[in-house]
Amino acid sequence: MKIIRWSFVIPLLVICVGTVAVLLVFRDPLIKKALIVNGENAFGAKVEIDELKTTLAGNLTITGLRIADRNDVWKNMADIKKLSATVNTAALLTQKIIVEEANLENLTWGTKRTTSGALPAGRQKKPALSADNLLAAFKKRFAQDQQQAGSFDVLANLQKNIEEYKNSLLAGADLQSLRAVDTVRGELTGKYEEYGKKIQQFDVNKYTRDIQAAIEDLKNTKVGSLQDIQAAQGKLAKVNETKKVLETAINDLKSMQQDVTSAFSENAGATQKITDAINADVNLVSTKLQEAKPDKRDIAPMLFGPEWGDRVLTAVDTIMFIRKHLPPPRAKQKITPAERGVDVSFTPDAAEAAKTNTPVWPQLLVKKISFSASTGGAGKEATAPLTITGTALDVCSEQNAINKPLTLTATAQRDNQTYDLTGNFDHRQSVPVDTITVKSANLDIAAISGGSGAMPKLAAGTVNIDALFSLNGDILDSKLNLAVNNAAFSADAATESQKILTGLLQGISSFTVTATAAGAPDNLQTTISSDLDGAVGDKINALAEEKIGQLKTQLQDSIRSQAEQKTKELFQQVSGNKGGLEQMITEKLSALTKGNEQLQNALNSQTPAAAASEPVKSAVEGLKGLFK
Amino acid sequence: MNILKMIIKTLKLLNSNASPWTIAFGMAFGMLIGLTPGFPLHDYLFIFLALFFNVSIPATLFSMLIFSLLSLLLTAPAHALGYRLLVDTPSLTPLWTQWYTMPLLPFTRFYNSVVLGTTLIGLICFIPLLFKIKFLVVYYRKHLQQKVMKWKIMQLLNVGNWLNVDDKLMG
Repeated sequence: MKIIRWSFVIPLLVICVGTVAVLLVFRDPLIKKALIVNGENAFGAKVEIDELKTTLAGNLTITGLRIADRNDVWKNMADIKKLSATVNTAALLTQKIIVEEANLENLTWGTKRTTSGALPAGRQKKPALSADNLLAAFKKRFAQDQQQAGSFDVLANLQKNIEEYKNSLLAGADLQSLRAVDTVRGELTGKYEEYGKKIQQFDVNKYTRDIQAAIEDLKNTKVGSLQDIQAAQGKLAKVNETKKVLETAINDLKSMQQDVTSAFSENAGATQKITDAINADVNLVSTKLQEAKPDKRDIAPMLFGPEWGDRVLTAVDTIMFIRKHLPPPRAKQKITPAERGVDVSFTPDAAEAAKTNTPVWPQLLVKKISFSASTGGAGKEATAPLTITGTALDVCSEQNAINKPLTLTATAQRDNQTYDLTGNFDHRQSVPVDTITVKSANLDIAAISGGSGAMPKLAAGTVNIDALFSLNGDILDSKLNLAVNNAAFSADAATESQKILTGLLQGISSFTVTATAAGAPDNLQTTISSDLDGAVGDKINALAEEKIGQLKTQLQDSIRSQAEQKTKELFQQVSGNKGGLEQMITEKLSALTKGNEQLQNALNSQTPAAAASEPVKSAVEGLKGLFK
Repeated sequence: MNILKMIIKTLKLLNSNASPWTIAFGMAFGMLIGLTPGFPLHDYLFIFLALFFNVSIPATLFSMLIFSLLSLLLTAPAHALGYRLLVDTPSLTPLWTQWYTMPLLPFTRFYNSVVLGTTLIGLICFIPLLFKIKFLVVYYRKHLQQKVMKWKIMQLLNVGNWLNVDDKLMG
């Protein structure tokens, strides 16, 4: 019996060779299809490859690779003009993908698509969350810090809306001077009513009637007998009494006249009272203005706070993106359920492997990626894009397997601006530590040209930037040192705040800014300091003082003007009232004086009879004495 | 229908002059292939061996069928055995880790608890099964074949037709 079945061996070999030949000939379309299907499953959006070529030595070249953004299907998440890679074919036999070197040319992102990048309904994935929780927490903290730092709005408003501010202050001030005028008005009105009443009560007619009656009596007096003498004497006494009363009334009226003149005189204390109230108001408003003066705060947080917050958040966003695609270290054994039983994966430990000189391959490793990228691309704004070139080393699915972190070095350029970027993404421990640094020396000032927020535009100068952003787990540690030299601020101010600051910053040609942000999202501590704080802070306070002084003068003038106008109106009214009273008194006085004169004339006309009666009277008195 | 054909062919084989060792090896290879779920790399090795060496293909196919059904019953103990070796035996972890990073070995899916368990059960049973089958074939031909061949069903199935072309190929 033959042991070997030769009749089967040859067809088997033919089949095997044929299969390998077919795979070799059609490997490129097969690999392309596999990459598209797996890529679309991974990214949840269309993946397009224009051309793919491979060699048996493990070289792969992809021309025109576009991955659509599942959150915005009319944009590309990544658009790579050319990708070439050298794959370790031996590693493929271990189900591992080890790329010795990869080169990405002309990488752009967020570019416009001409066709939708959406997958058919059955293959779509839910849109990714727009913001990571950690990023959202940091955003919230920075917003709170910015609110606490304040802004230049108070100062700008003081300048711009001084009239409005003054009116609002006046409206809410409850000015004493105006109330004092009203009080004086009330007092004088009371007096007016009191004197008016008194004058009204002064019954001139009664006096007139008494006078007429007395005059009539005098006229009717005839001395013919002794009894007539006595009667005449009685009448004369009565007339004299009437005259006396009349004179008293005249004197009362004259006295009242003097009182009225005195009471309604402008110098009767009312003016002084109002003046005192005006002075009190001026002092009150001055005090309120001092309270309204902005606190002396460091200006650096106001000037650079928003920009610093944006930069830190951009760095955190970048780190979170890398963390999302660079998984945390796996346990040495990872057990996952399979269709039957469980699959146990074993992560090789680089340190242990080194002892036995065993080659260690993680699931995915790209030893070196050289890339050129641009922030521009189709559908993006026309501003000059940044051109980025760099190298990423050890992009690995299990850093523990190679015991190396992912490192990144890149240079970003725009015109004559150059930034040096480095990144270190260490996910070997359970708590990932990711660090990004940005450095640039003698950078054109256009990089931080200002012109937004309160920061005035910088027309010339250079800047040195040294920034570090580190995220240790959820703990942020970031620092920025900014040194500006030969600075010249543009007179082109867009806002009132910028206009004010431009004036204050004139003469300052160099300054430094130091900013930090450290801590967990719920306990983030941010500091921003600058030598501008001392130089400009005092100027701002002096400016505020000056503005407040101007406002104070205007307010004083306004208070005086308002009070004086009201006082003037009061005294016009008072003067009218006083005239009325005086006229009434004068009329009554005139009537009484006239009556008094008539009475006097009547008395004078009766004097001979009275004189004649005197001897008679004396004789009668003598006779009376005789008969006693 | 195919299963019935397979049974007929196996019966024909038993009643043929084919070597008992050929049948035994075919059954043993079929067991190794049939027990493991799916077709991991080592199954292709066993298939290749079964084709390369002059072992009975019908016996292999019949055995694959029987043992793939039997493996369903063996899943729990195979999983327990594989899990114990993969996870609960730390001293073996370096070995598995090394295998995990070696070329081709990951394609055997040894890291799956059921695959490892059934493969080990198959390998352990391979030699005993080989001898047992050989013994049973010899015993059948010596003591039972005459009686069985008289059964009407065997005549209906035309098991005794020696001129069947398949016998030449699969003998």
